[in-house]
Amino acid sequence: MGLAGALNKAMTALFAVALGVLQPLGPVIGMTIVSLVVGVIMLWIFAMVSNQDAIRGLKDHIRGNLIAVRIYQDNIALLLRLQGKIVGLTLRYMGHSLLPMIVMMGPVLLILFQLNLWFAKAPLEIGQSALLTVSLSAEAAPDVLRAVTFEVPEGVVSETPPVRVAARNEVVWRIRADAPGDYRLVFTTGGESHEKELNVGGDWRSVSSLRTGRGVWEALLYPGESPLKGGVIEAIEIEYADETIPVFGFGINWLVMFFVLSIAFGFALKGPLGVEI
Amino acid sequence: MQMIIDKSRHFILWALLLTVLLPAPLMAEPARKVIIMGVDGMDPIFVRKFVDAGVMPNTKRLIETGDFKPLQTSMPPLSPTAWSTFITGMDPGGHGIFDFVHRDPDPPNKRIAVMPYLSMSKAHGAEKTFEVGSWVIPLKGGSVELMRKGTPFWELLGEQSVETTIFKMPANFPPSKIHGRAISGMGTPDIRGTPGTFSFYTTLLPADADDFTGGEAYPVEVRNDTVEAKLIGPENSFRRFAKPSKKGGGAGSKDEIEYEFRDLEIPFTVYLDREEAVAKFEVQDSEFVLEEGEWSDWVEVTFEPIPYLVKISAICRFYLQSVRPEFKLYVTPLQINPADPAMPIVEPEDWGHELCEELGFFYTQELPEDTKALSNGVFGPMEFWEQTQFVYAESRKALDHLLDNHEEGLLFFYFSTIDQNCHMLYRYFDVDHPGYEPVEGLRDSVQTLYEEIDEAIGRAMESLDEDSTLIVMSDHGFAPFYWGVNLNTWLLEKGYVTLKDPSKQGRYPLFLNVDWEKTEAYAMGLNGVYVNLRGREREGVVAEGAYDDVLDRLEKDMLEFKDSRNGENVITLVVRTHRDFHGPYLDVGPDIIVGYNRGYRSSWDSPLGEFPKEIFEDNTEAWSGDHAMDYRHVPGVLITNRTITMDEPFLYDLTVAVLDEYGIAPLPEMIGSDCIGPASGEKSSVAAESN
Repeated sequence: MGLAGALNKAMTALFAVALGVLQPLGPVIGMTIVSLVVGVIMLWIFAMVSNQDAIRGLKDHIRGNLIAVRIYQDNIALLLRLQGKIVGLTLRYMGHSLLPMIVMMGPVLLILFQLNLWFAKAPLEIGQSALLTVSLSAEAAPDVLRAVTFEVPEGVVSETPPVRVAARNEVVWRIRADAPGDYRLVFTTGGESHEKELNVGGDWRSVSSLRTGRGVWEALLYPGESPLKGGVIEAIEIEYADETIPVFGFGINWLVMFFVLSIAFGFALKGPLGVEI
Repeated sequence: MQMIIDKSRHFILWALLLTVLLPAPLMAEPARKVIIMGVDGMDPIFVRKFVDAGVMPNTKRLIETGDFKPLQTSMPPLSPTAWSTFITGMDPGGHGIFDFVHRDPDPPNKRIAVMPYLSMSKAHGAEKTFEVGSWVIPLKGGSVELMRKGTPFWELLGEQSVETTIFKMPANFPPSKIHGRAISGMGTPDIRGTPGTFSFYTTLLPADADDFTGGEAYPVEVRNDTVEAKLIGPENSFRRFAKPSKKGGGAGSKDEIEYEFRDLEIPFTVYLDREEAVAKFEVQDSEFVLEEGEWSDWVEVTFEPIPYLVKISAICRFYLQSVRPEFKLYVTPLQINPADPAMPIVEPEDWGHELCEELGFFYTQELPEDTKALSNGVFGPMEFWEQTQFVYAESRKALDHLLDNHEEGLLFFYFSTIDQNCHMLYRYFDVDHPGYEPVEGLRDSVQTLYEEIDEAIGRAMESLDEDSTLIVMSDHGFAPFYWGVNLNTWLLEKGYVTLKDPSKQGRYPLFLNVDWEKTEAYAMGLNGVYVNLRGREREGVVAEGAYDDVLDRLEKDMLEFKDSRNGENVITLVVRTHRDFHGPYLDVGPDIIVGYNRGYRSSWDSPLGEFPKEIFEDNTEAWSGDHAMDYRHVPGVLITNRTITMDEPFLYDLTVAVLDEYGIAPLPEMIGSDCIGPASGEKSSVAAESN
């Protein structure tokens, strides 16, 4: 399975439970609570990893110099010295933030990949069409490309025959779903067989657009389904429509909402939690 | 306590004051509902025939409880002229629209004596620019001017705060001032600024591809089952390129450098599966799959005249005609995106966005039915029919939306499908037509179109209440177009025109072979004839004193003009602009407007200054029905749930009637009279049944 697979599996299970609980409350509340929890966790990590005393001292020092700037406004030479000190202190302050940022980057990315799975794409609407693409490895022979088939489950319609794009070693169909549900599409070629999830209709939930076998990074980016392994089929992708989170009649991109809320919660809670950032 | 009482007193005083001072419109009752369905080309003979046959039950019910009369149209009975007449209540002398094209009697190109230009709107480039290298930066943007003059009826309604929605009114680009909402109709260009230019990509270029009008054919190659091609967009006026020197060897001195602006392009790729006859398209961010014979949905594309800074949004649809043995792909003219319009087609602008939210993208080009694709042989008749049907479906969906949201005031809604189909389909059902061609699926197509409109009328009737008025009207009717008349050739034969080199007759367009010193009159546009008047025309020779004499002779000769093949009069009406029209724009139009007999119409070549050898041509073209003739042969229709108080109402009478629905007096320059009376006795039952 590898480290990436294990991480994916653990995070996906964790978010499935957490967001599964929040699912009935809808994506706005779901995202708000996730942002709150992530904001708190990030604060905690920051507090654990950073030198809180040093940060506090540096901030006091900067504040003191800023006051001096206001007092000695008519002493140009002193002002320049003060400004130089402020720049230096600020750089030192940023240096103290660097380590916590690096430490937080890993968990934040894993969280973002999970949020991407839950908030970035909308399930197909009933009657809506989408492209379904199966990508083969560069080594796959032309007859393997021709042999790719998929079983069309009841409730799903393949609107077109497959387009075999030899120039890219991929096969594309236009599919449509006429009934809601989470379908398993089964693809076969050259003796191998793989499944891909298809989400149609229903409430807000995780939507996996890509099942991939193209390396660790892509596997981490698309954690919704276990990676494809070792065959000629490298990736199976369904082109879902982008989703936004409805807030006061506006569709907000999930990433924007997450960063705004988690930063807002972080700043709001740093005082009560006694964290200096 | 005293303070509370004081505050209460102040509040009551303010409330009373506001009640008195509030402008009357804010306090007024909602304006009553008037719905006008403008069905371009709807013909009274067809209406009567299909009503009697029982296939237009809603229309029958409307007529039985209201009224139905032929509606006399404008002269010439061309859509831009006729709709402008309805909009303003004036004849062409008042609104200044005499034809699809007018003529410039002193064009900048001195080789050409007269030059046609589109009559309904005029584009003005940026007035001031500065240059940074090859980039041309405008300091003030360009503009588009609506050339229709006069006061549109909705402006008068707006002055009385009557909320008005105008959906695709012809001759209203850009939309004129309105108290309400408007989207422009006929006269609205595609993104390239043309009336609509389709693109045809093929591995087998038609032999006549260079002669295509209204479309362009591009040769493509299939390599590794892949086609690479480009969508051609508008000219990039932000960037200029030095033209290659004609002498060769690069550009000459700085003074000699000539610059050109190139068209913007968007590359796209088509991956073919020839075994399955299916293809995958990649166009910017859009990817889609089409089977042979299938249309895509609307695809949004973005041109970038200045990368990252200036964007032009357009929409188009792809039709994969054939994958094998030859690749054939049709792409609609690139439409101005109503949600992000590059030109002023919507008023207010955010209404376009709102419409797209409700309806999805839709055609914005003036007449979306692609008659040119059929004329050029890119479409077969059934493909054209299918394309016009989804144009109609889009309109029908928009009608539903507007009716659902029509709570008060006037709603005008335009349908183009009957007009455009009758132009193209006449030869499929008229056995007397020189171009008659039986096509099984099209024999009853005109009836289908009228049935569809009847269904839409029924939908509009459902939305009526006790006090509402429904008007179904058309700008003109229809007649077969059997014979094309080369009027310039006739003028040549009658001695009004002399050619410089008669042996080269028929070779040059735009009057390039005309000896202007020996020419008294010439024809331009579908129905116009101009006297070569000295002082007005650059090459004019006719003295002002002889002007009336030339007109007298022309009128007499025209009314005696017979078709020797059957003895029929070719021209049954001659209108003299200065004698028969009114208003300040008489000089914009031709001196004579020719009214052809039923079955005759101007040829295609004569209106643009050509002199084919024969006067008459059998019309075997796809464009087989028309109305550019004596207006008395092609009246429109007026059907309403009210009584019609005139025996022969004209379009300009209807304008006055619309104003009268809201108790608004017509302007002095309006030439009509109210032609719609109160509800007939049975009217209330229409509303009752509908509700």
